[in-house]
Amino acid sequence: MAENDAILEDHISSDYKYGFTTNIEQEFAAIGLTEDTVRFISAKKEEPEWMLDWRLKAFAAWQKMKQPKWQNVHFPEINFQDIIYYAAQKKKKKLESLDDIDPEIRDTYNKLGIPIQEQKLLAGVAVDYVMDSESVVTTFRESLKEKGIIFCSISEAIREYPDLIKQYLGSVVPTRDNYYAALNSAVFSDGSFVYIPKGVRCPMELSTYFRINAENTGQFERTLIIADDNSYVSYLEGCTAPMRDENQLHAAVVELVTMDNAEIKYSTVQNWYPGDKQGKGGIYNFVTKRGLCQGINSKISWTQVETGSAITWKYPSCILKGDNSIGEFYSVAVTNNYQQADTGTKMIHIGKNTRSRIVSKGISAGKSQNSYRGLVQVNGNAEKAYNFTQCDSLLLGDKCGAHTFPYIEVKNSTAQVEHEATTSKIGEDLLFYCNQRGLTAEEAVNMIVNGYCKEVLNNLPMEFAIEAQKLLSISLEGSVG
Amino acid sequence: MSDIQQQFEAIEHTPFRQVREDAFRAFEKLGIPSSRHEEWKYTNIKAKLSKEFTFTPQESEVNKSVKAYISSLPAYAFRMVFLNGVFQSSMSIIPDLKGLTISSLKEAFSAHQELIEKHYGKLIDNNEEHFAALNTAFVNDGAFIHVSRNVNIEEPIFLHYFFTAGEAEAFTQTRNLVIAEEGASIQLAEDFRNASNIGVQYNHVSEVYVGKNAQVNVAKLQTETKNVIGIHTMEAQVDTDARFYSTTITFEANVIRNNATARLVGRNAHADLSGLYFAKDTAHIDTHILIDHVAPDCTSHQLYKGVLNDQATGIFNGKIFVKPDAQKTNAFQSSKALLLSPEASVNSKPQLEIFADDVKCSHGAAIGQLSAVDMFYMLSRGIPEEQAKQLLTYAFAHEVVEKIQSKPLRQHLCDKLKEALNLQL
Repeated sequence: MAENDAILEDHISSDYKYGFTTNIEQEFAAIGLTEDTVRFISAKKEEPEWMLDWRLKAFAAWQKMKQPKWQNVHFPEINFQDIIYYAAQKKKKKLESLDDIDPEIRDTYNKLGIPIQEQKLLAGVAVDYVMDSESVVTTFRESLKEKGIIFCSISEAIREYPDLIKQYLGSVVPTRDNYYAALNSAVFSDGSFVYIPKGVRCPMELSTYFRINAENTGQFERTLIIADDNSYVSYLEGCTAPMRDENQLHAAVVELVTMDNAEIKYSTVQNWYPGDKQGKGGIYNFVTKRGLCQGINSKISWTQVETGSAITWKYPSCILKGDNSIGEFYSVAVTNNYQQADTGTKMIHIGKNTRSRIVSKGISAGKSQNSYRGLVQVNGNAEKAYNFTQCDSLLLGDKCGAHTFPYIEVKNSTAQVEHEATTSKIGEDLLFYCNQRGLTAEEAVNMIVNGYCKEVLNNLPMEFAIEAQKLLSISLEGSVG
Repeated sequence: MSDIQQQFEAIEHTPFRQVREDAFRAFEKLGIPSSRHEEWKYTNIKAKLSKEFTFTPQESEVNKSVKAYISSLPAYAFRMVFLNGVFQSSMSIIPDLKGLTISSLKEAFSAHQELIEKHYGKLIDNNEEHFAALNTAFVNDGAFIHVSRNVNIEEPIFLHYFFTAGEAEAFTQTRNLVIAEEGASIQLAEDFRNASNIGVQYNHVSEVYVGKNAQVNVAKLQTETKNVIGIHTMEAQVDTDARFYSTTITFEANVIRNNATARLVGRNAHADLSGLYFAKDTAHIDTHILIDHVAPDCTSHQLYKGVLNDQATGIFNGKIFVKPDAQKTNAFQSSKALLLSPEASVNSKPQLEIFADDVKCSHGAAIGQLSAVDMFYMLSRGIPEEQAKQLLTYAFAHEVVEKIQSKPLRQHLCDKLKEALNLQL
């Protein structure tokens, strides 16, 4: 036990590996949030009039809303007038290839352990690399274009594809959906836009790496993915952020829409700065993610590995509107030190024969609090809806907490809903078995935790699965209960 | 609210003026919860209750139906009868037994002042529980049961609560205080009955102390509660090595809310809570359970089942709290609902909040229909579909009824269940 404690101590004292700051000239909006800020951002992005109106409406709605308080996380009230809402790199000439980008940014990338060149060559990943709200460069655009796939920054999409944007932006997450979604709608600075045309199977994993870079800037990303009839796309989102003392707010909105027989697979690895050992600093990650299975036989699958952020608060959801549509949610959430996570999903069954599956694995260590909060709702017309939910919590250490708040609402008698949850620590018998086979306590815990999360990790694309496994090991080195 | 204020000033305050007043102040702050309150999300009690209340106990005549029922009862050893919250000593059977005190709460206030002062109102949180605070402020009478050290009472103690609607706004407040001292054991059966054809509303609170190594078994019957709006709050404190069992059976209701809390405060304590509801018509049955693991090495078990017909609504919210010191906790919860009608609905929220690491906690919730495989088996054996359904539903529900300790009572409930299912065996 003493040895275990030592290892635990050792790990807990290990510092955030990705804490560094990139020095690039930045252009900032004035601090604080007024209607002028919204106008400033819209003007900076050279947006058309209708977009500015849309933002202003959201801003007006936001002003009337109150910060929600029901969540099981605690933090000092955010002063929304103390945030810079826009920080973009100074305009440079359009870049043709990755070699043209700022060497400093490339260096940042390398520190993250994701060599862009290699990825480009080997993995065939098109990277829409976002450094503080502004799209720097988009690769593989040409080869995607051949198939008719649109993959660009959302500001570009607003200019180039206004019809699609007008139709779908805010259609899944309305501007007044919730406090942070309204805020995002008013001030979002950039993000990604994907459109997969009818019958196209996207030949590569689309991916965006986010970095929050400038101090005091909230990152307000907006992502919109549309998969038309019979199409398929897998989208990756991965995040790391440099070390900061002040809490930074990240309030993104992600909207997914699938038409008939289409499928979107959305994977996230989130490893933002979680704050130091005393719980100082760290990112507030308040995100609204929602997918709409609009067409029949369509499918949306969310997979997330959440290891970072001081506070994670998000519920990637599926609205299963089309008959026979499928929603999936696979999640691993790890909290350590003073981290807090309140995450889960919502599965709203509207169409007939809709199915959903939820697998959530929470791991709490240190003095952290980890909550699963989920809703499974079967509406009156959702004949033969089926849901299976499994949410397990693993406790490492006696000062952390694990909580589950599953809501199940069934209004149709042909529905079948099953929910299972367990909370436990790593069995001493398992550890003993591994030790006896010559594994150290640390290796044993790693192995057991990886096994525990396997069902979720298996759902990640290969490159991500490897990164996620490494992350888990880093996050939980030697945390033996 | 001003009307409630007037009524509060009008009631007899002594003894415990202070306790009543504190509770009333707390209630004034809380009010009647709306469905915006998380604990009342699925039950809009404010809309269901009458707009005005009368708390004055109704001195009503014992009607025929009460008389007929009482005379039909077998000769149980212990019985207390309350009519609209007023104790009816003439119909009660309270033998003089060493080590066992059964009396009305009013009587106990003067006769057992020391025990009352130590225990009364101590398990409820007036600042959180709207209706417990209301009850403490306005309660008229109830049962006081005290079992001395190492005294085992084998026969169940029956508490019959009859309600006959007098004034439409009558909101009867009844209250029990049960104390089992170290090593003692008792069985209680609380039976709530609507003895009229029209709607009644009541608010019942029980505080149960289970001393070291003691055992308390409570059966709560809500089988004759048609048109009833009933709010039940039961708070049990379970000490070292003690065991607490509770089973609630609900067959009829307008709106019934069952709150039950078991607080495990001593090592190696055990709580076993179970419930069955069989809802028809537009019945709305809401169950809120909290198992609070405060001490280490405790175990808890929950089994809640519901059968829903017609436009009935069932709600289950089961919380398991494991406090930081409650290591080696083993807690299990299972909630199942059988939806037999397309218009019935179920809302379920099984909740775990765990602050200790060396624990085993699990919950399972299932909502669905009778298993197709089971049905096929029955049909293949030549059992008609309707009967097969009845049999399977009976089997589903019987698991909870089986937990009732008293054999005659268990038998009675099995018969009631068959009757409700129209099942002839």
